[in-house]
Amino acid sequence: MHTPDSNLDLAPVGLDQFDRNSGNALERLLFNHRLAIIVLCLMVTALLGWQASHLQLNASYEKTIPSSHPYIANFLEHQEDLSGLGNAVRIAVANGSGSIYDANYMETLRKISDEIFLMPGVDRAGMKSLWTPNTRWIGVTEEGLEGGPVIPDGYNGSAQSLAQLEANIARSGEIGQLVALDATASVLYVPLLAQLPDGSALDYETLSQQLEDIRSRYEQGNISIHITGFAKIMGDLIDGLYEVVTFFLLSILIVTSIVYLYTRCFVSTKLVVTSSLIAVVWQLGLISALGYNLDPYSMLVPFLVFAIGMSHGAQKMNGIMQDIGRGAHKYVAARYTFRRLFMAGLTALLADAVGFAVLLVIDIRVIQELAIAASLGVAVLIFTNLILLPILLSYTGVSKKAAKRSLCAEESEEKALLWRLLDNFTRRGPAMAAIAVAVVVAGLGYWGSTQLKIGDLDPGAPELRQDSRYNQDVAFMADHFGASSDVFAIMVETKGSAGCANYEALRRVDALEWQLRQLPGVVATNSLALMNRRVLTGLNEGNPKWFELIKNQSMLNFVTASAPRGLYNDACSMLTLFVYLADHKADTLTRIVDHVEAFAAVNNTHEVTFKLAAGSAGIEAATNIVVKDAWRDMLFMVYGAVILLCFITFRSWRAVVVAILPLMLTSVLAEALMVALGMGVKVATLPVIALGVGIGVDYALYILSVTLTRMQYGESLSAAYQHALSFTGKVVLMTGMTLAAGVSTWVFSVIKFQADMGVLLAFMFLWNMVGAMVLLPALGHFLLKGKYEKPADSEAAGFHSNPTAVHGG
Amino acid sequence: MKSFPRKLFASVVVAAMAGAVMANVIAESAVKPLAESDSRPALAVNHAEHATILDLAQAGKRLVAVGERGLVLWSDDSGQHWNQASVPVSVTLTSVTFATPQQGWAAGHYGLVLHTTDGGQSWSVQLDGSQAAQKVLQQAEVDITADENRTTKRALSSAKRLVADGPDKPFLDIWFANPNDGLVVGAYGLIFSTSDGGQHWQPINRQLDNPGERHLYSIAAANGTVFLAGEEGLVFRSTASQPWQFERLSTPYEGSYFTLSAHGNQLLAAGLRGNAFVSEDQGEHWTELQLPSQASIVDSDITADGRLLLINQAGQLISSASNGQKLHMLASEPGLAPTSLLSINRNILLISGLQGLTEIAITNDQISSN
Repeated sequence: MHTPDSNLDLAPVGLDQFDRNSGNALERLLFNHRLAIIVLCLMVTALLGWQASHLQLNASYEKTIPSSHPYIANFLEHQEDLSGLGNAVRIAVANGSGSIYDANYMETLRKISDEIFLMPGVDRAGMKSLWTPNTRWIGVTEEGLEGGPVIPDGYNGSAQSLAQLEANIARSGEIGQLVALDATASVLYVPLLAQLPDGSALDYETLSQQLEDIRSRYEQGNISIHITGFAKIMGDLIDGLYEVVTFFLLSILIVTSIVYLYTRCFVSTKLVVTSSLIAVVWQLGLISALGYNLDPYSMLVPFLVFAIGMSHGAQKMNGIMQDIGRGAHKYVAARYTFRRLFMAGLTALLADAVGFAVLLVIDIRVIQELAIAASLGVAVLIFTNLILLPILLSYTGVSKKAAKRSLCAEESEEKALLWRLLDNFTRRGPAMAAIAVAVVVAGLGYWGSTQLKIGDLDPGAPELRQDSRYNQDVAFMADHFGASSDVFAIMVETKGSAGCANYEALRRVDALEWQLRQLPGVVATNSLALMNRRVLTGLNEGNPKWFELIKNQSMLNFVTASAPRGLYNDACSMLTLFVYLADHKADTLTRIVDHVEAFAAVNNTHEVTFKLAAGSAGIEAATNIVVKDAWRDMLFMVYGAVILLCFITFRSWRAVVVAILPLMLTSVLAEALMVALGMGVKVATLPVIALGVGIGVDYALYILSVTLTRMQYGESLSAAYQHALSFTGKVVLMTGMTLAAGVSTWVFSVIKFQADMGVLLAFMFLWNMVGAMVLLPALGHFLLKGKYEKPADSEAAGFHSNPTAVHGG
Repeated sequence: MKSFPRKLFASVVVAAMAGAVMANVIAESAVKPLAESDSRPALAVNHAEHATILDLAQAGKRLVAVGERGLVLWSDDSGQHWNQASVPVSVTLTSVTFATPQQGWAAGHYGLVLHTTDGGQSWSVQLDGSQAAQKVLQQAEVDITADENRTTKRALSSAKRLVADGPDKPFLDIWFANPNDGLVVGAYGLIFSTSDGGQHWQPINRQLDNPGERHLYSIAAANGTVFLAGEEGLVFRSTASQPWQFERLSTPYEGSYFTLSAHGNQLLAAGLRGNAFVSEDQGEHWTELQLPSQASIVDSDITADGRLLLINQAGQLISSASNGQKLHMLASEPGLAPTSLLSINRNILLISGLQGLTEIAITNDQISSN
């Protein structure tokens, strides 16, 4: 590649010939005080490493919801009153071999019930199982009501006492609640305390481990145990986080291997890994110092930082290798490489940082924290991999063999073959073909992306995989207990003397409930209005003809007083209308939201106000609304930022178009891929597009800047592109691979959204690379040819701040 | 003892409306300020299979079902497809009856009586709770002017309370002998009669020896005699009609009778906790039936060939052989939560419940084998 007429490459010189006062002020500052810089970095590393050791893993649910959305504000305002949504765990104990009316089954159930009862954090008064005394049967008699615990007096496991148990359960109203519809399982309903008696907060991780312990001890023979509930999701998420830490080690291994295979220099590969890991330590230390935890989202940032660090580091190494291979002293090589690549690297890293920072506008805390963590991480890389690494390399150099090899490889046949192949795209025919293919693919992708849905599309807990143990347990509950895990809660604020029992409030709730039950996707509802209908039936000897909400305030007051808590708050100033859904797809949620909003608009009065939204589905509805708005906003902003950055770099709209169009194709295809993989736009996929575009533009920055510089100096597009490829092509290839490899390990995460992010990011990193290498020359043929192929005095006409064009001397 | 229950609605309801139109209708319901349920048209429902249905009737060949929130369904193909009727109220309807294939009446909460002249497809209000209370008050005032005594004084204060309470009391059963003569009974001893097809309803409480104002749950009639049953073992038998006269019968049970059936001289009264009694002499003498469970009996029937049919809240369908009192269980479906039964023909029973409608097919050989 080293053409004799090129005045862009710095002549390889020995240390004695090198002018230490050459280069810009920053270079002189850094390289003339190498030791001080290294000591400083060591100190910072020690300090931040100490900080990082205090970092905690945390899976906070509150942070994943858009807290300033009015729905969420309503929810947070009434959180204390929403005991009906309670933080409870449901444990189904199933008898695979038959029904629950089996002495062995009942004995196992008793042991489990006793153990759970004694577990710290369990609200013992509220806990219910067939064995707790609060599970009672009720019968109507001529004199009134009679009842007792479902476990008969003197239960001894005999056929007779089991028959009595069955009769008691039949009149307990617990079939479909505590007892499965097909009587093959029963549930332990375990409400949890927010605080332990000693005042400490409930530890989901410990609780989840205790539950798993019970599961492992009792799940044998025919007995199977199924556990659902928010606390269990949290426990499983935290388990997943620990697992992801091991993925990080795997990523390090893979990325290191790629870099080593590329360089074949053990010493320098070690240095690149070290400086990238230092960046990770700094990043973790900084977020710890800023008071953040590692959550399932920000946990992924170290992977990105490491992979980006590796690709930039490898580039430095590549430069130094080539210079050493050409005979330069390692110190001189390091300085030349710094001189050549610092600005390009800085621009690329700044583009990344801007891409991440754009995410700050999204009003969801995990995304904002992800944005901060990622921006910090990339900023840190400027110090570790653009400054510290070349300084370290100036001490160690690279192995001579590897240096020689790098030059040989560069000019080797097979490598040149690929570059020549790619060079074809600078010519008219292939360029048109490539663009035609891209247009068709973009069209198809766009058509596919129109199917893109907002929200999470799979049943069960969206955080976890569909085939996870947890979601299998959710499916079990749905099958055997008709229980929906997607609850949409509507809060109804009531004022006035009768409060929540007010007929005017109840009749509105009653009517809305009936309307909602006619909507597709609504499985069931529950409210104090429905409870009134049921209790009135009960008060009239169970005769179903009394199934009505009657206009009789004293009767409503009487019924309300005896109704279970959860349907209204302690102060009787708020009712909750629970809507159980078949799924939490965006269409279903939108239908509910639209209907309730319309209803509230005409039926809210001074005394009765309908407010959205609580419950897992209600919060998801609010999140969907925020995510949907953020999706387009974020695309505009991240593209705006990248376009601006490209324009500043290239000072040419044509070059900006050449750089941006391949990115846009990738974005469209990523959306189509989401459709194909059944992923919706959700909190987890929002940052992916920003990251993909922000990091993806790096490739274009590298290739295009060299190409343009060369063209400016009179080379043809083809020659300039060839030049750019031989200079940066290898690095671009390697960057694409290291980034994709770095994030691809997420695919194995038990946390579904991490896996989704991994797939999407890996796709975007690789496709952006292909786009940059194929479409960039093709677009260049139409947009740059003639425009830039002119003699060397084109400074004024084109650009002047090409970061790669650090002139020699 | 095999039976073949078949949950209806597999091919579902409201045939006239496609799903999308349906959703719009429901969406529209939200944008109007909410009227009281006794003046708000019934909502077109999407999921009748989850609705509470309380009573069934035949209008010629047509099946009609009524239930919660003004829901009325009709089917012309023996329950294969159901259509929703147009009903001007959203109140729970407890009872429905037809005098001819066209002329029918339904009764419900809020003191409502509805009338149809097109076989149950569209309904209009004949009587509401406020009017009913006013009529009781007028009657009490007339009575006290004619003869002021303890009974009429008590009737007047009770009538005033009824008016003050507002329309919160349900009618629980309605019956018509022909397109003109009918009765409707309800909570707190309410009973009204009409002799002009419901254009005018008159309270006839004073004809009943029911000083405790106990609920009246059921009406049955055979051979020109009308029987009423209710709480506290109440059973009445008519001694004259237009004007109506009733005498109280003594029965072996002090609890609530929810259902009453009559055929020839046979009378069947059943209710709370599986108590069921049959009389072969229009209620003079009673024999207790031994039922398989203590679940309350919600509906009964005596078929044309004299078989007794009973259904209880445990989902047990119990029958006797022709003219016999030996009982056997035709079906036991605990998930059914039944509210009412209707013999469509010898082999098929329609059951309504808290979760829609079910048909139970019974093969002939099962009946003869028993």
